[in-house]
Amino acid sequence: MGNLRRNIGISAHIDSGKTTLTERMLFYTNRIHAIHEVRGKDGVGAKMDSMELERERGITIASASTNVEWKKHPIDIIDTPGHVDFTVEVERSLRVLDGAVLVLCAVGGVQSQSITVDRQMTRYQVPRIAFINKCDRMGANPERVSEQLRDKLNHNAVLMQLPIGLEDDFEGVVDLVKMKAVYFKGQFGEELVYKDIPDELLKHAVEKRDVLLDTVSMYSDELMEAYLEDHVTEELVYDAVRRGTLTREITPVFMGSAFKNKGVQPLLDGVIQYLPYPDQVENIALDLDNEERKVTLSSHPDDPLVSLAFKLDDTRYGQLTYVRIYQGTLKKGSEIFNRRSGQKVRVGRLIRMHADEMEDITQAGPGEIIAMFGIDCASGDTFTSEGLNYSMTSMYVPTPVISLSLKPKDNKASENMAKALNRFTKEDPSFQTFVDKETGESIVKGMGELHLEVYIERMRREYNVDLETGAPQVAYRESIARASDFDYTHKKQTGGAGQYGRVVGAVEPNHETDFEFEDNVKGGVIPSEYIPACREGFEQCMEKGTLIGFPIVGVKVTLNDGNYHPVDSSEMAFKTASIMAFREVYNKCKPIILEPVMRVSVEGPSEFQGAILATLNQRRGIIHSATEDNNFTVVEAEVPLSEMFGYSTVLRSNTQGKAEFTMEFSRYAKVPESISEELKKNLQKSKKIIKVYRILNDKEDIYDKIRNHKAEPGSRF
Amino acid sequence: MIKSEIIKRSPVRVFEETLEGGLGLGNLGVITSRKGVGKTASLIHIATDKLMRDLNVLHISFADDPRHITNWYEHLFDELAQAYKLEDARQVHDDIIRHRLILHYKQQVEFDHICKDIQDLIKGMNQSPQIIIVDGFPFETASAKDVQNWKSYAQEKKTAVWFSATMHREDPKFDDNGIPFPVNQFTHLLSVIIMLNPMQHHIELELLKSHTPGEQKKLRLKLNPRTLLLSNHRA
Repeated sequence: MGNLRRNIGISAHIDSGKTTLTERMLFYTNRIHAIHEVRGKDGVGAKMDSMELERERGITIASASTNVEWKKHPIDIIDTPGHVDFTVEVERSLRVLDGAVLVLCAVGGVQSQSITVDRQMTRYQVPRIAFINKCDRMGANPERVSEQLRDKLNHNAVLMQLPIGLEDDFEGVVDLVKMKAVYFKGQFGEELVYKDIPDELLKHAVEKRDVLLDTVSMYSDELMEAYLEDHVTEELVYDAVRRGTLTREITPVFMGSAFKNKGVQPLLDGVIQYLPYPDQVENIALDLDNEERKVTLSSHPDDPLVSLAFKLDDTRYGQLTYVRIYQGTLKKGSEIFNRRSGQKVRVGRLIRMHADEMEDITQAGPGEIIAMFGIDCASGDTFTSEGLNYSMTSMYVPTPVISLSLKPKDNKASENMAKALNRFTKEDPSFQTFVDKETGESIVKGMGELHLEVYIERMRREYNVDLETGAPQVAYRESIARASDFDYTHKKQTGGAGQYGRVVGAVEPNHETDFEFEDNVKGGVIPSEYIPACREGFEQCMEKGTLIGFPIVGVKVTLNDGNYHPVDSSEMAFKTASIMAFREVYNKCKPIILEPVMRVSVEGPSEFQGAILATLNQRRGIIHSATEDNNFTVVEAEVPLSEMFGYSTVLRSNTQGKAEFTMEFSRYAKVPESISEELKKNLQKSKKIIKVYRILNDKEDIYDKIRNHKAEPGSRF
Repeated sequence: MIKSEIIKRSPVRVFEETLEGGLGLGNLGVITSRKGVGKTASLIHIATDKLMRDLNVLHISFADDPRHITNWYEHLFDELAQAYKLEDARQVHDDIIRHRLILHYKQQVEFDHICKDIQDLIKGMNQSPQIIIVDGFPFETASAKDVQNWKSYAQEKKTAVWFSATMHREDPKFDDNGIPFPVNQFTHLLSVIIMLNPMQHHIELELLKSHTPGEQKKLRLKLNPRTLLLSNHRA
């Protein structure tokens, strides 16, 4: 069955209708027997959006995997989230896929989110085919969207079809390979009727077929020859398109309207005709016994197992772990090894998922995507057979840039919150949590307002956590702008064993890494057993800067000299000396505050160009460019995250709701002096409040004060 | 080295000296060469010099993608920062790019359309460009009126406008004054015309027309094809 299987993702802009498309795919492959719409009138909601929250908001949050069969080809479909705040989910899905369907809206075309998603697909070298959806909508223009695929995404887009009518008159598609008109009859478009191409479309269809043949004959000598001699067969075209698609040199373009049940079956044909089967994709693992040397996996069922846990789901029966098998066979009851934790685990229940329904299986082979029950692991863990110490390439995890505090209302809520956080952080590496030592509050960190908002909402709904949240905080950093020397002696001799340690060296900026420590001590002036303690002392200082209490990054410490006492010196003494030395030298190094800066892309009609620029300019944005294409403008800018809170509302009101934006983390940059001062003042206020808190020990009251206070620095909501 | 010293030592000073003060507000200038010789690099070096002096630069492109142009600027800044060992380079970079905007058109548009866009930019960003770079201007198909529009705009708004012009032919045609086609059709509207000549190890900048009529001075500037930086030429 190896070369029949397809693992595909459906990835796209949030409103391009990919959940509806997936729903239709399930229907035509007989996985479901009725069609429900996203936000449907029947209140059931689409099948893949299994979480209540998704159904309510009409968006897909967590990716769900489902297995279908089309013309004897098993297809695993991963429905991926579309919002930029969920890029970890998108990326994790892409990691395990062999091909993808890029869904675009025939009206909206290639929008900024499509660009982000496409960039991710390119990073993971995923071959794709495009589906231009919503051809029945007012203003639909699939040929323009296909052009945008070329211009905006740099795809060699090749039209495989043409629309028959558009908007309300959209009837079907012209198949440019078969040169037939395809209509979709029956109550749910399940009956395909092939007819001659309507006369008025014939000339255009011939032209576009020529373009298709011209383009794809580059990938097949046989087709090139047949084209010149005018005896092109369907098989030759399919073969050439497939070759070009697999090498990601062309993107075949299909079209239709999933909502109106038109064009989905030819797309499914396209999936099996053009997207690769697992054996055709080179999968690389890292050999942990050999300095992480890259190893190409075999895709053979009899070889030792290599599989990757790419998604976790908490069901009422326990943790469900989605796994992609790259090599070997995973059998129910067998023992496998988690290479991260080193634990041996026994495979209990093994299942194949269909959205939120499951089918028990006894084994699964290379290329399959299945799920296991009762395995305790984190997302991204590699499972292998005994003796094979391989790990799949680590996944790119973006740095969380925003945080907020959580306060459960009572003990029960607190317990449930801990459970929820435990699960979410395992599922999503870009969602992190810790407890603030000073305030005792639980803090969560993530990639954006919506990212945190959704997890909090899920805590409320799925775990019944009654909680209050603080104002979102930007993850600032501290750093230094200049080098300075230190020479510190820690000496304490007040009865009993004394403490003595002297450290001499330099602290300098180093933007290459967060922290670097160089031991340059010669002649044993500091005995080597105390050097790690010195390093530890300096490293500890990096955890919290004194300017605004955020971590210090970009620092190099060089230890050049020092002194010790044969009796009074100890690891503790040298650690203390290092901490004190850094505290003393830090202010001489011109400490600065860094803030996360986001790469922001705003798209809208050109008439709002000035308004868009103004909204970015007012937010301390650096505007890089404005690109105008057919009365549509894309503005690219970098804006500090602290200025982006509530931006969507402002943008909407300034552009009559016609512009939209995406953002992702770009870099850390120095905070301007005026804002730096404001942040420092706020830290002082904070410290005072905490002091009062400690005296009064009135936890309830002080939480409010801290929360209210934290809302001040740059947090505009 | 600090920013002010880089400005003082910039090869663009040599250029301005030869041109008796540079292109000047209200004037149009052109850098012309065959494709791929270094027009954009030269214009970006001139623009970066202005950015270093905290002047506002508007870079209009009809050809290259804005990311591509941004990469040019980044590359040039990195080369400069490295060559002159610029202090606090990151901060200088972040400060100067606030003065730069790239306006990219996917298709040729009417002059009035560009004017309206520039007005929008001035309003939205609250700053007016002191120098405009027009990269990829279609001199071959442009009319005298098109170039005259730019001239009037430069004079009215008190800005300097630099164009790049491609000499498409392998064997370009020159007029009696040594000005190549297609720029020669607009010589009367252009204050400065510079041609890039590829030599064996560098690219030479030749002054074909300046504010002073008659025989042109030697420009004593060359473009390094590796770093794409302009430098003083002591031939």
